[in-house]
Amino acid sequence: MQSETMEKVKVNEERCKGCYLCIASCRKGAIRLSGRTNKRGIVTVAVDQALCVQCGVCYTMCPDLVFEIL
Amino acid sequence: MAKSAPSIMKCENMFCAGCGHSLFDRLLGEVLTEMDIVGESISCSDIGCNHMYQYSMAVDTVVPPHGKMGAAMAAMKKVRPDKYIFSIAGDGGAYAIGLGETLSAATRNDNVTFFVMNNTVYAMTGGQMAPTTMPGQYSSSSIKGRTAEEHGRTFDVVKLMQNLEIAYLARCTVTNAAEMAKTKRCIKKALEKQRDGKGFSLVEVLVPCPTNWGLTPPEAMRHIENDLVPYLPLGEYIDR
Repeated sequence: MQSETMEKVKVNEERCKGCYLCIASCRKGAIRLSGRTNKRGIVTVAVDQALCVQCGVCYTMCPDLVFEIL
Repeated sequence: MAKSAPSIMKCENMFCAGCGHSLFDRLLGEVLTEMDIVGESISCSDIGCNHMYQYSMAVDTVVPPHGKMGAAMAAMKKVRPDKYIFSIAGDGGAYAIGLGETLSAATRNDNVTFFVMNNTVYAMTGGQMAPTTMPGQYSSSSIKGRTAEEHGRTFDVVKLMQNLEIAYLARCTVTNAAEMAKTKRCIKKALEKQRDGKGFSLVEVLVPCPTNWGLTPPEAMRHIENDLVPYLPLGEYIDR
């Protein structure tokens, strides 16, 4: 069984353009604003690994390939 | 289940935040990779926002004059019948500027595949009204909203094509994960029709354009679900 703190989703923050479709799509509410900005000046997103169930919706709905489901 | 970007998506795309083109491009990249036909494919790019797929997707591309994808793809298929020939076009190129070529390719039932991204505006040039603009929709050239009396009615090319003898015709969208899965199936089916030599296939994808619609990306997705889909119903219309 996977640990709650184990990394389930990898986030490539530099690719994020700030559409936040991932936040709107995540049924578990596991994605939130990270408070960090990337080189584009966009406030990126972060995944709460404990809430994540690896459903892959964030990967599916992200236009910019930010997410990788591990 | 592990999911990562298909290997042919070689770099970051150049689309705006929340653009539907990039969602479609990734689905197409996944299908080409799963069918193992990346090296067997030649794409035909239109002019417009959609053309930017060629910078982020490693697939051979020909760029004909604006809107002439139907004629160009027919020629490409005659020269290279062993290759998969498909076009990623916008509604402006395929349904307005190149309508003649698109319909000619359909009436000839050329064995090619058309993917049309319908965002109801001429997006790259600044969001002007297109024939596909919805009734009442504001655009940079219809600032009081489109009206049937002044601008004509919205042009539904999928409806127009339903009586043609073509292999495959479908309309889908990218508003949520379930619709994305359906869209992926439609893309695969359209390319399989070409593989089997059945003839012309067209998949129209309703995509959001948050930049020109003046909406946030999640609002643009809801706009498609609430306002576009009732007027432009989704589904597979022809499957021969």
